[in-house]
Amino acid sequence: MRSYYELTTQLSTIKKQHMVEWFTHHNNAGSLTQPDRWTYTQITGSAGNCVSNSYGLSFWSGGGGTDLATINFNDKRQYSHTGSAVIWIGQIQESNGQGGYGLGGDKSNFSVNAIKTVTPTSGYLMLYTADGSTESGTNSSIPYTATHRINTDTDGANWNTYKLEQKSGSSDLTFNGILEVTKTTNQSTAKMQPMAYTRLSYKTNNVRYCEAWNT
Amino acid sequence: MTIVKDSIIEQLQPLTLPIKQHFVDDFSGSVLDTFAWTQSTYTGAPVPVIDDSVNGGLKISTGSSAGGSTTLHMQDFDQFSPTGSVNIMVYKPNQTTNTRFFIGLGTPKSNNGNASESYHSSTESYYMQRTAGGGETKIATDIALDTNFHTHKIENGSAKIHYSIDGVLKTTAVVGSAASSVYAFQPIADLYNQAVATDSSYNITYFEAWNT
Repeated sequence: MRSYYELTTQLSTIKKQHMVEWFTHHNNAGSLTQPDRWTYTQITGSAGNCVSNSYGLSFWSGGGGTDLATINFNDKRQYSHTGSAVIWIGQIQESNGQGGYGLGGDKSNFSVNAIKTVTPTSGYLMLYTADGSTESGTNSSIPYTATHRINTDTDGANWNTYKLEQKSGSSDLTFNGILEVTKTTNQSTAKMQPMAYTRLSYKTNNVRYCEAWNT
Repeated sequence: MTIVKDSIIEQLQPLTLPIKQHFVDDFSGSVLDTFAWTQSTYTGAPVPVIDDSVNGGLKISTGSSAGGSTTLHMQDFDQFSPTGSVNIMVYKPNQTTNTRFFIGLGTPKSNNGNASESYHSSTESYYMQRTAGGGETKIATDIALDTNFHTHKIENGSAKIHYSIDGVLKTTAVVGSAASSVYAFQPIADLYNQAVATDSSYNITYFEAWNT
């Protein structure tokens, strides 16, 4: 039998930090996983929550118009700003929801030292990156209302795979296996953790897979 | 050429073979998986925490009490065979003085203290292979004590126990002596600061074990 280790790394190479989460746990409202590998943080607003369910893990924002919530590693930042990658499989549930997936340096501020997707309420799927003070975004070719529609209320439909690679001086967004964006401005300057977010009034983000590793 | 399979287990072995117990921990997240790991403290107030640093994994520390000592284990759940299992670990010592660390497969001190482990101790000059049953055997490798990450692999067979570091076979212990376990194993890590009032710590980024 081969080892799990050797699926990604030869034994002669020291394996770097590498995590895999499948989000399969019993239904327990208010608790992300058992135990809480993940932390739920409401950056703006209240009355949001999270639950393990038939989607995997669902988390949502509160009822305010600009409410914003993330799931994260409680600022245990083990992934490098000069060499790391993350894969998320997720679904922005409501048709006018806004959310995204990536790595971030601050569980309470996904707009500093971050690499993330932004699913806007109109326009195109975007790659956003942030240094210690400023964030900026670049459009992909994926329209929000295209065949690859990102929003749905239907379990099992329109799940998408987002791969983000943080290199030394540049970032890539690969959407469903196709490289969409490479960006070189406003790159993260600090260590990061897996993060996903949802924004606006009672908007839900569903996730079923997250894998992160240092390269 | 990469061969893609539908499942992860098929990447590891064909489905025609029985799938035996297999455990992987990547030590990444908000907290240690306490549904898998249990901590026993003998002296001081050691705390294992997920480390907030790149490639930090789990940081296990004795604290600064003289004689600080702690063990991470899986209580009484011994799922791995002493004569048919493999164990891969990645860890980094944070000092080479006033320290002693075992990590591998074994049973807690309170339950026989049998073991097949990687051993890093300031009383020695090199990383060592340690086996323990009624007695204890330690075999030195040629890797001097350091504070770097290494990949440690231990293969527990019915006649021999092989210990490799960074993909190279270093030592082999012979099964059948008083230092051979007759009890089933569980993942285990044991830390001690050699009775000196200084903190001793290790970062563990990976632990995998499976029965063969």
